[in-house]
Order: sequence, then C-alpha cells, then structure tokens
Amino acid sequence: MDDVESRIIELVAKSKNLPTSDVRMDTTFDELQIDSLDKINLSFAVEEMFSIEIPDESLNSLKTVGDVVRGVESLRAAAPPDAAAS
Amino acid sequence: MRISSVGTALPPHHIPQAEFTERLRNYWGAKLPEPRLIGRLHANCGVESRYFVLPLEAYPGLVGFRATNDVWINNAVELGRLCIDRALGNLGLTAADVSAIFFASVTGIASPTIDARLINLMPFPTHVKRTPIFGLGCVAGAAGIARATDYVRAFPDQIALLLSVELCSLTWQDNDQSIANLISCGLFGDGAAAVVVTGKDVVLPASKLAPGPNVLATRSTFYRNSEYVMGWDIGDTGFTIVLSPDVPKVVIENLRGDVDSFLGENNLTLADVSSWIFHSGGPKVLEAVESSLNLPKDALALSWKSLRDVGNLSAASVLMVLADTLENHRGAPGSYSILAAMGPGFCLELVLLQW
Repeated sequence: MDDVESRIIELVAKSKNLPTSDVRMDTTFDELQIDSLDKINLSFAVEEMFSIEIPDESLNSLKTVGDVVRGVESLRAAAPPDAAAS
Repeated sequence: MRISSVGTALPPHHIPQAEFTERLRNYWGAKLPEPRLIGRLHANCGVESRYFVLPLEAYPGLVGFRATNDVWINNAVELGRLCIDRALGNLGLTAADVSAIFFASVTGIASPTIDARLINLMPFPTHVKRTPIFGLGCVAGAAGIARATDYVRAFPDQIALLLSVELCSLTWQDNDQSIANLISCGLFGDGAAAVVVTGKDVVLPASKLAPGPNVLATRSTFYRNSEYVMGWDIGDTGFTIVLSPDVPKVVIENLRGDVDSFLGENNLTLADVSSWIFHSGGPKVLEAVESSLNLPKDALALSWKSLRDVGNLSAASVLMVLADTLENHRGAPGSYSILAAMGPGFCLELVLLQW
C-alpha cells in the first residue's frame, strides 16, 4: 500500500471511527455513510494533509476512497515539486 | 384530459454560479465560519447559472418580510402574466377561455392572491374558479397538474390553468449562515410556468402545436412524521429554509415501492415507462431517484439540464422539465411517461401520462 493510499484510508477510517481494515480502495462513500458535508470536511483535511488544493467542482465525481487517492496522486503529480514534497 | 400547453418565464438577471458564489462569499466575509465551505457546496449543487428577479446588489437592501414580500407580489404578477400568455397563446386561446385557475407558490404570500390580481389584468371570466395553493413547495408542480386534472375530469368541456411562480431568491436571509441556507443559496432560483389542462370534450382552435399527453392517473402519497425533512421555519424575517440531509434517504426508502404500486394499479410496470419528467431537486435527490428506480443513464437528462441551467425552481421546476419535454422530447404515440415531484410533508405526487 503506498503512502497516499494508507494515509487517506486512515483519515477516512478515523472520520467514521472505523478500523482501517473496513476501508478499502473500492469502498464507496455511500457504504461508509459519508454524506456530502462529510465529504467536504474530508476534502479540507486531505488538502491540509497533502498541501494541495482540490477543485471545488470535483467533489461530486468522487464516489470511492480510491477516487480520492487517485485524485490526490494526480494533483500532486501536477503540482510544483515544493508543494508536492510534504 | 390532456396537458395541452406549457408556457415558462424567467426573470431578467442571469448570474453564473461561480460569480454568484464569489459575490456572496465576499459579501458575507467574516460571517462565514469556513469561507471555503460555500464554494465547495455551491460547486456541487449541479447548478451552472440561475435567474433572479433583482440584480444581486439589491438583495441586501431587502430588510424585513414586508419589503421582500412586496417585491414578490409585483414580480409574481408580471412573470405570471407572461407565462400564462405564452401557454394560452400556443393554443390560440386567451384567459377568457379558462374556467379554473390553480396558483401554486411557496416563496411569498398575498391576499387577494396572485391569481386574483391577474384576473384584474387579463380577460379571465369573472366566474373563474380560483384555487390558490401555498405550502406544498416543490411537489406543487406535479400536485397542481393532478388537481387541475381532477377539475377537468369533473367538467370535461372546460379548461383549467395551473400557474406556479417561485421567486426563491426573495426568501433571502442575510443572517443565516447555516449549512442548509448555504446550500439553499446555491441551489434555488427564480422562475414561473403555466400549464393548460383541457377536458376530454374540449375542442381547441386549430394550431401548429401537436396534442400533449393525456393524463391517465395521478396519486398523492404522504410520508407520516417526516415534517423535519423539508419546509420553512417562518419568522419575523420571512422564510428560513428547513432542509434535512435525509431527503435522498426518504427517496431511496419509498420511491420505488410507490412507483411500482402506482404503475401496478394501472396494469403497467417500470419497463413500460419510456420517459421521466422529474422535479430537479438537486444532485443528491436526482441520484437517489436514478438509483431507486434503477434508471438507465440519461433517463433524467432533462431534469439535470434544468437544474444546471436555472437551478431548483421549487414547484415550477417540474413544469420547466415538462415544457422542454413538450417542445423537444415528445414521446412516441401510445408511450407512457411519469411526471413526479416530492416536497414538504414529506410527500410524493405521481402523474401517469400517455402520449
């Protein structure tokens, strides 16, 4: 499991008081009972964790934990090296 | 009984969503506990632009219920007249041909009601029967068609008119930065629609307009003890939104069973429905409808489009989708459509149409 994946799984699990073993890449937010507002709050935490800025309009397309992991990896890859270093 | 024509009207101030959000964020400034939240909520409302009765800079000047409601009355009359003229004009009719008028709105109040004020401005018969409807909210577009249909079922040689004017921007609450109001500010827009419903014995003047669908059946369903889901908290400053995150849950739990039962009563199944004319409640509601009814991709494309182009217009939304359907996406002769909306109660109104 790579760094981004494990950190996001840990963050999501913590937000719902679940063991990390209950959260997989293909787990959907619906399954975790994470609603739109929870997702927005998670997005703020993810932004701070990885020093990235998630486009406001992208949240509706994030349906699974894996979608977030791939989105973060893509944003980090596109960011200047300094910003992606954290 | 037939839906013969729909006329729509939108107010003049067209605002892209991103511009609206930025201006509201700047206006509220430090009142917002988390400035990033409003952008993220608004960007995910499924709305790209909306129409408003006033320029944005005028809203902070609307202080108190009276001033706001006066603006509502003036604009409701103006937009109401416009869309009634369009709906009747499509058929070569005038207000003089209408026997009953149903007026639905949940964004302002008046007595005499808006329909009464329109009778003074348009050639409605003085014996026209008036039924103003306040409080049904988003469901009132579908419920209004159902009630107008009930009327022409009783009087098959008559014409009924449904008018809905919803000026959601005039429920503006300057001191409410709750999540529900932040969503409401990003979701709801202003607009109006009028629908002409004709009895089976009505002979319309020759027109280029193809006949609209027949209304075969309607059904109202009330979900007990769900008042908390949606509505208004009405106070000294007017209407404050009540909007629970449970709306999609209520849809998921109830819609499929109610639609199956309604169709079964009419000897039909979901597979017999060729198109859906659904109230554009918001992304979560539309997703819940798609999931609950296991609809193919794009089955609610017109509802998504309406949401994107004008926002949620409460009762007028499903009528906008109906107008688009009549104009651009008519069903094949003999095919079935369901027109539906949900709203405060919480409740559901289903209308079965045949083309």
